Amino acid sequence: MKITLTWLAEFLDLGVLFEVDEAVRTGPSHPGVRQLVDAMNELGMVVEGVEHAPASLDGVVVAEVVSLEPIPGADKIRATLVNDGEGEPKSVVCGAWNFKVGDKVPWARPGVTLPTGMTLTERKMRGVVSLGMLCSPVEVGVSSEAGGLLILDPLTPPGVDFGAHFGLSDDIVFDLAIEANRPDANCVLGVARDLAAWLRIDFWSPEAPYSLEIIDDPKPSIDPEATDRLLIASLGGIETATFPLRLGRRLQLGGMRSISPVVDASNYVMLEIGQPTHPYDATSLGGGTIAARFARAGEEVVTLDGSTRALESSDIVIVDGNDQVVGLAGVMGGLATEVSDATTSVLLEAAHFPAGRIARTAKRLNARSEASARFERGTDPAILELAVTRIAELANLRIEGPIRCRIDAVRPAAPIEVRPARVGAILGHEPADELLNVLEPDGPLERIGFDIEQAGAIYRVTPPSFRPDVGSEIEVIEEIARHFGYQRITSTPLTVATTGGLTERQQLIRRLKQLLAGMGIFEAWSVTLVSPEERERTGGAGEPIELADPLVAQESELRQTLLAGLLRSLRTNVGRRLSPVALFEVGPVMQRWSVGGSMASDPSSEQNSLVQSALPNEGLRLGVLIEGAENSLVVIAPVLTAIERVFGLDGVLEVTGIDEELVGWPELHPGRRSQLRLGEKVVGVVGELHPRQIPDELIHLVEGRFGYLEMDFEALVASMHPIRRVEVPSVYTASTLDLSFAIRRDAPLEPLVDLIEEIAGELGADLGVFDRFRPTDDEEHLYVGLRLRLESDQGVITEGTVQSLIDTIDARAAALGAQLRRG
Amino acid sequence: MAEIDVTLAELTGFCDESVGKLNAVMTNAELLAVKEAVHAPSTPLATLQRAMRSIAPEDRPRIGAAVHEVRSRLEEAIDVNERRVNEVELAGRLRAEQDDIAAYLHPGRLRGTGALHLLTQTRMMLEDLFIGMGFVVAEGPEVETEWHNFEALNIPKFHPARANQDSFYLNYGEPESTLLRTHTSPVQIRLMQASELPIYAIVPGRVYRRDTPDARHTPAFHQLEALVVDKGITFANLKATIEAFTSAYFGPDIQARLRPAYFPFTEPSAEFEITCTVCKGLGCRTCSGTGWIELGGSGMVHPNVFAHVGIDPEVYSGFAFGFGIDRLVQMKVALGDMRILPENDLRVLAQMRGVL
Repeated sequence: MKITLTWLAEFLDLGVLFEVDEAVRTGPSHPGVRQLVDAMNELGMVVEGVEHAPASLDGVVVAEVVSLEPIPGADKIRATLVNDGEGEPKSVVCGAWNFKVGDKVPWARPGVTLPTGMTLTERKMRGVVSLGMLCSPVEVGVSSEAGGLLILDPLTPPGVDFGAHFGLSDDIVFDLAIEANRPDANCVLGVARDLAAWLRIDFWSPEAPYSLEIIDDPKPSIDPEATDRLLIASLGGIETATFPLRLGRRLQLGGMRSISPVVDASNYVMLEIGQPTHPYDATSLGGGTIAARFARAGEEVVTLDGSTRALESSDIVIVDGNDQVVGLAGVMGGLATEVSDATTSVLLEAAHFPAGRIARTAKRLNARSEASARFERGTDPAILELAVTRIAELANLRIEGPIRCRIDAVRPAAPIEVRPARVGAILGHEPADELLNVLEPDGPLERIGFDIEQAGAIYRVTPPSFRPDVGSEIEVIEEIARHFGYQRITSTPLTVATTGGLTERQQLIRRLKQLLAGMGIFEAWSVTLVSPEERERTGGAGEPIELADPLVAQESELRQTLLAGLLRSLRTNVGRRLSPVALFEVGPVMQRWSVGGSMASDPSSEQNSLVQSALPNEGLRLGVLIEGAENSLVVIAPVLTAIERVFGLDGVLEVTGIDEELVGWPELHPGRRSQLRLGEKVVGVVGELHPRQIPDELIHLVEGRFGYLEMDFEALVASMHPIRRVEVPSVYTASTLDLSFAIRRDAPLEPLVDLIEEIAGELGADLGVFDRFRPTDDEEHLYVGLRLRLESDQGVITEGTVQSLIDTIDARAAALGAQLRRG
Repeated sequence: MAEIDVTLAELTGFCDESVGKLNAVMTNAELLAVKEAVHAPSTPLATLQRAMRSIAPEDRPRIGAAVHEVRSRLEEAIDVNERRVNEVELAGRLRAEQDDIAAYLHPGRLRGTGALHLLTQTRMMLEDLFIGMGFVVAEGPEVETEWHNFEALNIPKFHPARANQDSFYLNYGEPESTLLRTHTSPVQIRLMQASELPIYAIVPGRVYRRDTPDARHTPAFHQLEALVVDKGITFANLKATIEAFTSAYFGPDIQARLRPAYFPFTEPSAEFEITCTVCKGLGCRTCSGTGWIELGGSGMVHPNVFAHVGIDPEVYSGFAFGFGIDRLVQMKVALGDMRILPENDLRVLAQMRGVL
């Protein structure tokens, strides 16, 4: 919300603090302005910007048009002579067509720089001397709109200083961010009221004239759920309606468009006292009156913006005397009853609507307006008379006949009991008694308009009609804190009653990430929202969980595997010729529960204990994507080994062939993939990306292959074996045995490893693959070198023991398709 | 007799000649050849040694001493020269193996060690800071129920605050019953429902808003939330905790201040601001000339929120505050455009190897 300093000064005795005239000349750096900015910030009316708005009208005077002639050969401009009250008439060429001889207009002399930044000169146009310029409303800063020159009151004497005559002064614009719970502060009056209490200076609260005549007019009847207070007034004198230029400038600085005197006055009053009103063309209203009710299904209305709005029974509508819908209450008026140039009589509506209903309709119809923004936060039902009289006064209109009160069902606010001990217990300021000064007579709350009565040990606090946000003790306490000053409240260090720390699971996440980073892999943060195409490429788990209303099509559903998110990063890097790609991510994936078995469903795990059946299956996973040379298993396998070792899963985590029906995990290269099992449960997959996962257009950029590992982190945590015992190794000389096998290429290696371990028994201290190659002269076999280290607590390993082990291995390996190569 | 003396004379010559050869060898191979010649059966030394038994007893001491001396001289010469040749060969090998580590110091920017993401590093720093103050770290699901995300936090349907947190609702369950959480605050509700009191916890995590991405906003971002519920917790405690956190994280020359604000789930509510870290409070473009930058929201837990989770607000009170982690990262490393983060460009990730 944008308001100006001179506007605030109309309600606030700023003169006791600083010279307002000097401040508006100086600008935002003026100490008085700074004081106001600090005060507004402290009160929670956050100042997002302060701008200087000089009038820039020095040298603009009122001139009378004394002649108006065409220029030969020019059809867009005309030659005028204007009388500026000094000497001979002045020659000015003008491109506007909305004026005639005798009109009074603002004339900017050569040398003047206008608010728009334009500097005027003397020049010749089509051979005619043109001195300065005749100005439009936009050029002199009194309106956002211009349809030609600004035509002034015919009684204005020529030659007077334009700015001074019309009261157009320098000003300062404050851009305020008003919180949703402060409807009262959405206007100049409300800001002034808060400032007056904080700065302890006088505040002039405007009131409707005492003599105002108001009569009840309850027929046809109105649903009190639709509006609990509705006034209507007939406004006459539309043909002579005007709106002061001085106020037009404020509207323009406040960011409002100028439309017509009556609409401008309505908008001005909304910015000034916070009450939106709506003027109707009275003759277009059936029955000459209005009422409010809930819409009926099937009803429609065409609003001011030209949209046809289909109504629902939760929408409040304004109807005319014939029960025809003429507008969306509190949101937007109807096109058919809009005030226009042809309007001869105006009916003005001022009402109080239920905030929640207005919010619902404005959101549902995507029709938020300045009016709905105020109604949906809650307006002041007591200010309607003032709004009506102020509009009539400002637009030079007559209120014809009495103001008619169509309904008044507003219930006064109930007093709220506030316990002094509670105030201290919530705010904690020391000494606590100081806080209660805010509630004292002539204290800030009373100055604002709260009614405060001390009743024994408690206070009875009745909020004013413009503070619908204050309805309970805690809300009064917030108001006390605000006017006491958040910055004045003491700080009291917290005595924390718990011992801080990470859970085992949280520590393991950190360990895992540090391990992978240490292995040369970068932690990635990939998208949770993916496209159907990405899901399909990565082996989706079935029916996706889609966004109800995605922002972009590529991010329309939740990822069911980490690969779905990481694949996009892979493509980005490959496309940018960045290699080798080495990324990992620890993050959640979301699947429907029916996918079953592929995700953590252990109810004891921390994550799952939080999840209710109302939510999808959300589990934390680890994904690792590494680029390798010809065979990416070489680069991905060490990652799996490292994880096994850190989590103590050596010999527990099984690496097996992929189950046919495996769902919920990424699809990988069919010849280079395995699944990971802990007991009966599949907890991950490992292998090489399927070539189809690399888009065709990038294939030529890919140098290597991509190894991939995806694991269920929750299962890792659940099966984790911590270090419990450190073995003291044998002191006797060990024996190392290199065994070379020719193994059938289609035979798995794992059984051979298991066999050797079994035969070595207690003597087997370590077993590792040290060599692996495919002989060119033997298509059927693969040569694998295994190094077995033998140790014993009992003594040195003898030659005989070694020999008998070799013989046993030789004899039993053949059954696994492995041939020990001797010699 | 004379025959023996002749051989004796040959022995001396043989010895001198062999020592000379040994002193001249340059390689182990040459040394080996000389050694073989010295130990050959046909040398005067070998001849004399074989003949010792047949030598007259009176000559034996003289001859024996001579043989012994020659043998000692030869062994010593072999030993000395073996060591000399080994030294020479080692020096040669070392010369030949000359190399420059610089050849291995430039693996290319993308090879070598990996890195934790800046968001993780920042999150860990923040977690450790609060752990030091006695807080535990809590987590919750990213897909939330509408009830936890809004309703229980005193944000009913059509509340203006929902408009500020435009949500990604999901086609899961009843329409608008599930969504990607718009803040970490629903975890407050889960904590209060599930935990024993008192609660001193922080909640870091990813959240989602239906915002069109720009330099400062991505639809997914990260928050950290703190929740304290205990007997006797006050706004004064909230102030002190925020001050302790900001000076610990940003340094002692950074001040924190609270100003009134509105959040439906806290009352009283406050925005908290810190001294602008760029200009140290003097006023600059980053802080729009105010000297302060807004960091997050805070306040005392609203009694309506306590009512939703069955905690008696007359017995317990609490505070909560939260802020964006991404913004802290952005401030610390002067990252202009947040949209590059989810791309995971390796050139960006490689810059995260250092220490924050």
